[in-house]
Amino acid sequence: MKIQVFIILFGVLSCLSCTEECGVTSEPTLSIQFNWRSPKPIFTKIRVVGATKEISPQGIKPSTESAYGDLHLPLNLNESQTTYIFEQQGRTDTLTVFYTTNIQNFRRCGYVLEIAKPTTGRTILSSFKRAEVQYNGYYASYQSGTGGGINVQIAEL
Amino acid sequence: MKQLMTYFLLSFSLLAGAQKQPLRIQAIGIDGFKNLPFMAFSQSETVISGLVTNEKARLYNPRIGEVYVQLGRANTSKLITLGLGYASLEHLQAQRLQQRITGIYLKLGREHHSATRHGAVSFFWGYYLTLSRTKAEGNIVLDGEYFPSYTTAVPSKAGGEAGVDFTLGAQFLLFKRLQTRLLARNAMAISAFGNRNYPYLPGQGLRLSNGLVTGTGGATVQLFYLLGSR
Repeated sequence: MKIQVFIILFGVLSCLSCTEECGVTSEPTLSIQFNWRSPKPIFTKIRVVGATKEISPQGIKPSTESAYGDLHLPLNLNESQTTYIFEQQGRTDTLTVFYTTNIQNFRRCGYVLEIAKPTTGRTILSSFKRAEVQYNGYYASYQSGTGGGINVQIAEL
Repeated sequence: MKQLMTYFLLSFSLLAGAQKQPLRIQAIGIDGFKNLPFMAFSQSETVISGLVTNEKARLYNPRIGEVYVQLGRANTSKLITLGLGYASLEHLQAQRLQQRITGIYLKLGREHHSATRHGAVSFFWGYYLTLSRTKAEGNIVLDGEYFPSYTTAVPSKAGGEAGVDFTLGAQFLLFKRLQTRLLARNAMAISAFGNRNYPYLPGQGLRLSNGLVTGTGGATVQLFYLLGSR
């Protein structure tokens, strides 16, 4: 009997926690993930082309709870690309990420702004040796494991 | 709209028919009370629409008004109530989705009054059919911290709703033929918009779920002027 009560309670609590994250509610961020096998780079300055404010070399707070990665940087929605300039001792790198925006309608969230892979053309341009971008969507469903936003993986500096 | 009117008139004729005495206007009324809760809580954000996400929303800038006509035969306690309403209010969800929801609606009901309808205090119960036409349009607005703010329009949508409700009320004679009615209603509505973009259904109120069929309800205060014989 105790086990049955526990199972019902567990089910109810699991259902209560299976909420969704309805996309961005403020300026979105892009996350950058470095190769975990190599030491992480120490940037002295990070510049974002077109930004009206300086950005800390440690990045900013992610725009969604489902975001993951080592560094979070703002994304310019007024353009279809954002360029970042990374400065470290004796080296400067650039990274440009391309994207497109669209409105999606989710039953539980209503209208949500999604930032997705461009339908044509390139997705990333970088002076890092190996970098790739993933478009995971900013709407997150914890049941289906989606979400996380745009994530750039820098495998080799 | 034409279909709504036809349906409305057909329903009215069914309710009014089968009796011989002529129908007369027994009272006329207004309801502007429905603005007050939205005005009072316009700054407070609450979780609305089914508690399925953690997003909070607020509804503000209401413009809601209803006019009523009550028809009945002499010496009867059963009245037919016809109402016409307009509702418009703004919705801000999670600081990202800004919408204006507007709608017009027709209410057709039958009320059963206690014998002392013109007395100082009397009671009534009834049931209503509400037919609405709703439109919602808006924008997603994201405030910028590092870049200029971003705004993009969301698709505007329009559609129909229907609802039935059960009403209980009390009415108090304020002055001569001026009467105030306090009423509570419990309703079920079918909305063409089975989603979160429309938390408010004109003529019905705040919806309790995002489904095609939802429960609604509420309470209001109306002001009526009695015209019929005492």
